[in-house]
Amino acid sequence: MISVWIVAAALAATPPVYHLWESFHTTDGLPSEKAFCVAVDRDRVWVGTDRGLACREEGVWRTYREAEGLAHNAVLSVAVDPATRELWAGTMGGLSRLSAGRFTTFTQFDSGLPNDVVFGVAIENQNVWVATTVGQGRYMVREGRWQVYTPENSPQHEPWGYAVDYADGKVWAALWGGGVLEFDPATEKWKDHIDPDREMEIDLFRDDGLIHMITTAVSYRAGILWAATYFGLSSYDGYRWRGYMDHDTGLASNFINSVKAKGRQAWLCTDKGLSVVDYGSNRWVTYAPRDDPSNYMGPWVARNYSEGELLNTVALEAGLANNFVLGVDFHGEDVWVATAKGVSRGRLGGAKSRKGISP
Amino acid sequence: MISGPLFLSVLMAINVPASGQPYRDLSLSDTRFLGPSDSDVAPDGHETIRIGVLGPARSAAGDRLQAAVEIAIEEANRRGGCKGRPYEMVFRSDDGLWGTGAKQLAALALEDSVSAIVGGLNGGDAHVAELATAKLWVPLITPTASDMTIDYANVPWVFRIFPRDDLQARSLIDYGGERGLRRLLVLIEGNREGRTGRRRLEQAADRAGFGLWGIEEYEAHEMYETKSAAVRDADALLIWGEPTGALELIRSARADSFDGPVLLAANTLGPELISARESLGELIVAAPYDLGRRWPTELERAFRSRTGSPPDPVGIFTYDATRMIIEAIDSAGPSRTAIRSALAEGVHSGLAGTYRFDGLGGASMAPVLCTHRKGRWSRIPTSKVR
Repeated sequence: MISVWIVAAALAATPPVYHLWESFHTTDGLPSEKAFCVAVDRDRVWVGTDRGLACREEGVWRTYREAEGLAHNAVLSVAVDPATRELWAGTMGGLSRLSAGRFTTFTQFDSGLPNDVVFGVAIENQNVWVATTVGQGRYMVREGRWQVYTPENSPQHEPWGYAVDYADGKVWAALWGGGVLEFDPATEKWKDHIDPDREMEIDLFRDDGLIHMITTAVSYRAGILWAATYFGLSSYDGYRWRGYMDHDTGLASNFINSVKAKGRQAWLCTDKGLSVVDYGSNRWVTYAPRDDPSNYMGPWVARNYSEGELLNTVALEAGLANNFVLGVDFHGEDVWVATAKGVSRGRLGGAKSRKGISP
Repeated sequence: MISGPLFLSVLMAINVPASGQPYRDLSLSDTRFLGPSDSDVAPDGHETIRIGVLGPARSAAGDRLQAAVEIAIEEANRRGGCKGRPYEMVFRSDDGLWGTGAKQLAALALEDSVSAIVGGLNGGDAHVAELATAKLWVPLITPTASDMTIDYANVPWVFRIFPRDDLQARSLIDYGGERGLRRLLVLIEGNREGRTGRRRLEQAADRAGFGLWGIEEYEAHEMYETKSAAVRDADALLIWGEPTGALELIRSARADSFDGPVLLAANTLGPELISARESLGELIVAAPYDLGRRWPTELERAFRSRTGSPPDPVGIFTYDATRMIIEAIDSAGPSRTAIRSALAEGVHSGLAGTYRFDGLGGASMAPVLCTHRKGRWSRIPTSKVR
């Protein structure tokens, strides 16, 4: 009985391999090949590209652009309010809300939006958070009021917000040059997490704190904070920091564009493919081109690692749309991936044909 | 019960690598761009090949930035452009509150379809541009930002060519140590650049075991009297700030009978200081090049006719940056990915020196210590600077 439990626990701690990948391109209805981000809302998949916002519903892609009221065609971030299903899109020309089929746009000139270039957006209860080049903004939707957080009123070493996330009662912000900020809406208090060695050129100790002060993304789930940088990954469970780099883990690359956690596993979007790590077991699965990391035409493989040791390599019939991965989100067991050359969906099983697949 | 700091110390001790080396030397990172090389359609639809310029519209530095780009482009167009296709400058201003540059960079990349961008004159502006560049994938050369953290953002599209601030700080602190300037008063401008410079100076002083006697912030056009007492007690001054405020400080200190040496960071160098013929006492600057050298007559004439002043570091480094981009386009075509590769992998000969970019996109230019005596700048011989 105990051995069964141990085996089950080990299996649960090992990220499964997604064998089935399908990809979507402009030929399928995407407005652009370059997809910055993806967000799943029940049966809808939202994709922000450099030429518009795309929505896949019932197997059909639809595009929203400036002509439809979108603030700007370059959509860097998207978030869906789980309560209202309103979509919030951070663009290079303001923040857009899509509600009841109509866009409302917020800019720095007609609202309290800190800056028109909105790198990150997240929903916190009835509030919407944005990460911009001059700080973090919190739009209190019910009150129609903005709060702006800059180095003047929060512990930001630099004001440049790059990503924001909300989960389990805390807001987390990734700052370009300022590490990670934590905000507790209950107390309205901020706390900063910085690289303890304060050195840009080195990471002095592996597990002493954030790898680097310039963070590109942050995600918090199941009590674990994940912070991405262009030099590696850090995690923090409230007691212990851990650092992860490609030379001693299964991480595809230290150049991490984005991170999104699901339970105790984190998905890492890198320039050399997609990795997923389980916090407890430090087991990894990395999806990447088999040979040249930038040869996205493949063949693709899934590599299983324990810590940094390669356990096995699984050949994939099809890989992701591109090795340069920019965003990820989940739809049940499925995973949706935004890449520099299309959008991909990974599945654990099911039909191999693309036809009849929804959403 | 182990206290927090003690616990941290124990934890860190456990993780000390046996080699005594840091866990990772990030300067050894070699970031290539691994995105699809055909993702960027070579900006076309225009008869010209466009080079974007991002900088201040309402400042003398902005004028010199634009003038230098124009001169380099005109030279290239006289040679026939790129296979007969002329180059064109597209300027967008990053004046305004912090963050303006990100939106303007997006406009240059997405609306103006530029092939590459020159801009971000200081560390803050360069970082703001860098944030957007990381998303939009357009090559950016910052001509005069010295902030070393630009390199350590590790964005494969951003290139820095001005001597790094930490190297400037080291050369000035080492010089001060050699001279035995024990009462060195550091005056930093009260902005991001100044505060960044302060950190670099403190780090350099720690490294050299050199005690900084005093550090004070100043604002441009601030009444000198607020600093007068501290200045009078000092052996030497070290100024880190914009040209206008720095020159005011020097003149005020000299008028106040301060006759010690004044050490200067490279960002203090504006046209007025470079061409100063008045006696400003002993000045030592961590210059980006030998300030005593002369520039090609035609360039000097073109620059003077546009700006009314001789080329300064903004002009020289912007001219070099623009020429680098033009040469990259001439050899690789107007595709942004190809330009990035040509910049990253090439060796580029410029007026200020030869530029080679390391894996983080920084050029290995070292500052040159120069001194100003009797209205002339000259290089301090290496033998006098250990």
